[in-house]
Amino acid sequence: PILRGQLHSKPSNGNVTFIPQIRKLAFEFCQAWPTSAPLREVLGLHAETLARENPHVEIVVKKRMYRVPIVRGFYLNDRTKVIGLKKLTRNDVMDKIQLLLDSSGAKIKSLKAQPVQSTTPSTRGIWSGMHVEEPFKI
Amino acid sequence: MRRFHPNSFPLRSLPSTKRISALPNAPFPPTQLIERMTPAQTPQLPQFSPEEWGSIQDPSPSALHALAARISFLSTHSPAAKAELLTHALTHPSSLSVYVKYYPRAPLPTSNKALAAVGNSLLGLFAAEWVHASYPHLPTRAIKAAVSAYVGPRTLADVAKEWGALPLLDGLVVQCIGLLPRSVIALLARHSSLADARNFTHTHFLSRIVDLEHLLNFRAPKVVLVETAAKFGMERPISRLIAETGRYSNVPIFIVGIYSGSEKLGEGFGNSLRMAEYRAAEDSLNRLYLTRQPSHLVRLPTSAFPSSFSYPHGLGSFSSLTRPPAPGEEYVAQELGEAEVLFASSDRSGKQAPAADPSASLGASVVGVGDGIQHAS
Repeated sequence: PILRGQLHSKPSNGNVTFIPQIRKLAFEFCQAWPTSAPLREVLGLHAETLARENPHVEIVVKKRMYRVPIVRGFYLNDRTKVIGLKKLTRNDVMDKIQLLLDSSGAKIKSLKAQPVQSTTPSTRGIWSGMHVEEPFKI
Repeated sequence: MRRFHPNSFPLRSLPSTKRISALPNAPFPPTQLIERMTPAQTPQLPQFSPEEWGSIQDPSPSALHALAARISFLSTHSPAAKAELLTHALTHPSSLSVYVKYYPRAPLPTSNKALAAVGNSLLGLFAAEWVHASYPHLPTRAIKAAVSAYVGPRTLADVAKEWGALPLLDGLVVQCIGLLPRSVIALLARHSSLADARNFTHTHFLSRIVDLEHLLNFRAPKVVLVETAAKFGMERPISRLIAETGRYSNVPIFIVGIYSGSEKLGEGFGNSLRMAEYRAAEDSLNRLYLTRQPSHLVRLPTSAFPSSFSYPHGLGSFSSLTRPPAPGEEYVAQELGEAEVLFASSDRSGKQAPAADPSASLGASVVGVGDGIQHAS
């Protein structure tokens, strides 16, 4: 028997509308040490633009005194991605921020492991030896 | 050029990390000390739990605005208005008793219970009309099950999680997370329009994937098929063997098709002739009941309302209903599909539906539970 309280649907993000998977970006840096200088410059120049162009992201700054700077991305699948910004130039820091904004938060999987998996049926159908003009006869 | 001296950076304006006590005038002992004190020693101290206190505080503004942007909630309204409405939508009824405990003299905030009730009805309305219009021949019970699948409690909880609302609704009230999407729909219908609420439902709920084939289950598909074909005035269905292999082996495969005249209704495979015929009947019924109306031809009854109509409405909205529709806004109803043939559907009473009408075009008045389809050799 089908229990109506147990019925559910599967998500299809991107089908009609897309919900970006990143919800928060936390910049943790030191106010004194020079390793945090590129990040401080980036935030000073581009923080407002970043927030305006990505309204779905909460942007947070946090003190991380006398340590190297990091940026932490929080995702909707409850995972976190942390990127250290030590020895990165201003442009590299901006690239890392963009990497976090574009990510889905899923664990990085090897592309060499298995072939493509799909939730939709094949467009041309799977070949059947019974549905050809001349079926194979022993 | 501005130099980035650490002292010039506005981090000094960050709030202090000192905890704010619920009783600022009384000295607050640490939790470890309270645990060691007996109830007689702590007569004036309230039961203070930092997690509970944190759960009744307003969500952080940045998180609220991020949620509003993620779901494109009332994009034309001001950020302050959006934040206020979303806070209302996130106030669940179980937090009110906690609120009274910590702020006994403060006015009680309104919970989202009423909003959720309105939103639930609206969701059911939009889902039901869309499912019925998109699948015109789907049986009634399957429509009801489909509506549960699209906007039922499990889906609503999943959707709230996918919106990233769990950090805003604390972990204490996981069972109430489904109230948020319902409240959002109600707010859209009230502050934007019914059409906007409907579009939101289509975007976030009715675009999700539901397999309707699992909702159809026939106890005797061959007999149902015979009766359904008779209802549509088609020739009596006949099954034919299309292909076979390995008949005398331990894994034979038969492909059987069911034909009404020269029109093929469905096809099935199986390890026996009867199995293949059964599957072919099921396939034929699925092909009928799951026919889908193309989305550009779907006409929804709620589109008869003017596009600016909002619900619940003030007295001024009634005039928009009594006005004749504009030339492009006239509503033309979609053709309804045929109702399904009821066979062996006992409902709650346990009694089966009565036998087919003897005066039907089929002619044969005996409809047995056995094999209703003649096999053409």
